[in-house]
Amino acid sequence: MNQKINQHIAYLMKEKGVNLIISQAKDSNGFVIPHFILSENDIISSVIAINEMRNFFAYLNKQEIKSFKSIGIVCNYFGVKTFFQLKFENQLKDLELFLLIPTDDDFIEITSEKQAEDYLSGLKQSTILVDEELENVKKMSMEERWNYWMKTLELCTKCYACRAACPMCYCSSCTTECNIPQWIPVPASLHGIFEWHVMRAMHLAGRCTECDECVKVCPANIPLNILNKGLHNKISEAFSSDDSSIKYALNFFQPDEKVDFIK
Amino acid sequence: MEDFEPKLAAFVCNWCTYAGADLTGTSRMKYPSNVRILRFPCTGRIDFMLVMKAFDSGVDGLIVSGCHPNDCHYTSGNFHAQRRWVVFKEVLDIMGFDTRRIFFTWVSAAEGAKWAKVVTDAVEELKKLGPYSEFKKILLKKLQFPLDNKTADREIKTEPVIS
Repeated sequence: MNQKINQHIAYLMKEKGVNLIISQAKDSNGFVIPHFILSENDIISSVIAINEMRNFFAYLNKQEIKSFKSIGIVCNYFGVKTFFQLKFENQLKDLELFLLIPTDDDFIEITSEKQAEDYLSGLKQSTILVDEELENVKKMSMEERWNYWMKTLELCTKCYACRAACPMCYCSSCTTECNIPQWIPVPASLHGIFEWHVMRAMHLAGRCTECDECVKVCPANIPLNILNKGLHNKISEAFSSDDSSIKYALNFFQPDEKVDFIK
Repeated sequence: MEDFEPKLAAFVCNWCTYAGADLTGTSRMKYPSNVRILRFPCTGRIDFMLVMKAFDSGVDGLIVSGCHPNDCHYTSGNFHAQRRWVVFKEVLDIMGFDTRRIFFTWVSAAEGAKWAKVVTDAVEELKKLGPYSEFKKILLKKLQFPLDNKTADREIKTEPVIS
């Protein structure tokens, strides 16, 4: 992180009583990993481009991290988006958060929802790559699409890294752990994998911040962002009459909604 | 496919479609016996995972039915269900699942004739489509390791944020 951010981190720890800063660093292989700063001695200067940065908000859902109460987190655009969504879902109660967003040689500090809203309204996320992939999938016939996904999902080992890394997957008891009934079949079979991915997409529908953290951590490189983006498009198209303050489309309805496939 | 008898499940709501199906019977209307009716408290209770479980247990098609909008016993259960189905259908469509096999309908307690028609049409459609062998294939298939499928070299690109 740049000089100014490091100075500010030192200031936050000394003056504001911040106990923990979740910063980012690179390991010896060049992967971006979290760097936990517990005291001023832990501060390191590392160079990570803003587009390379990851979203470590998943840590904030852990009880042992929550117990620090006053936390700073280094993030980018997606971090702010996640912060906004988690606030809406009442997951950041009793937490004092300082979001630090590095810019060229300065940084932006965000502490409230109002500031986050202002920050987000000024920026636009590029979706060219994922749109292209979604387009390619949608162009296929039904059989081709099924074969494409079955071939891709064959590599999935249900390691649930996508769940662990997702800042929106915070339920303390997940459906995958439920075995009466066994919702997600445990054996290495395609129908269990298929069901897990359908379930993951459905539980994130309308809430996903599209930070692509699930794709980045997937050891099988499964393009989960295609599903996330597809649902995002569908929700904004089908429920376009919703006003923009609604953050979870499936928790809401309009009485005059008409759906053409329900006869 | 002449002698193929499809296995059809129906997830119906207790207050409208279940009563509607009852009316079909008491008014002595005939409909195919392929359907297995499962009663739910409300369409809002029909979790999408239950739909997946139905296909896991080997059905060829599924009817999901409940009260018409504004008729829900619990005021808004069917409105919530309606939104969920829009999203659920999109997931299945993107993944290439055959969504022609899921029939979404509204049948009220007075529409005994409509229920008979819904079931007859569904069975007819399923007879045309045949058994859902594609899904049954993955139910039976065990993955053999190591896999010879090597698609994991897909490159991950991060998208920039434009101001």
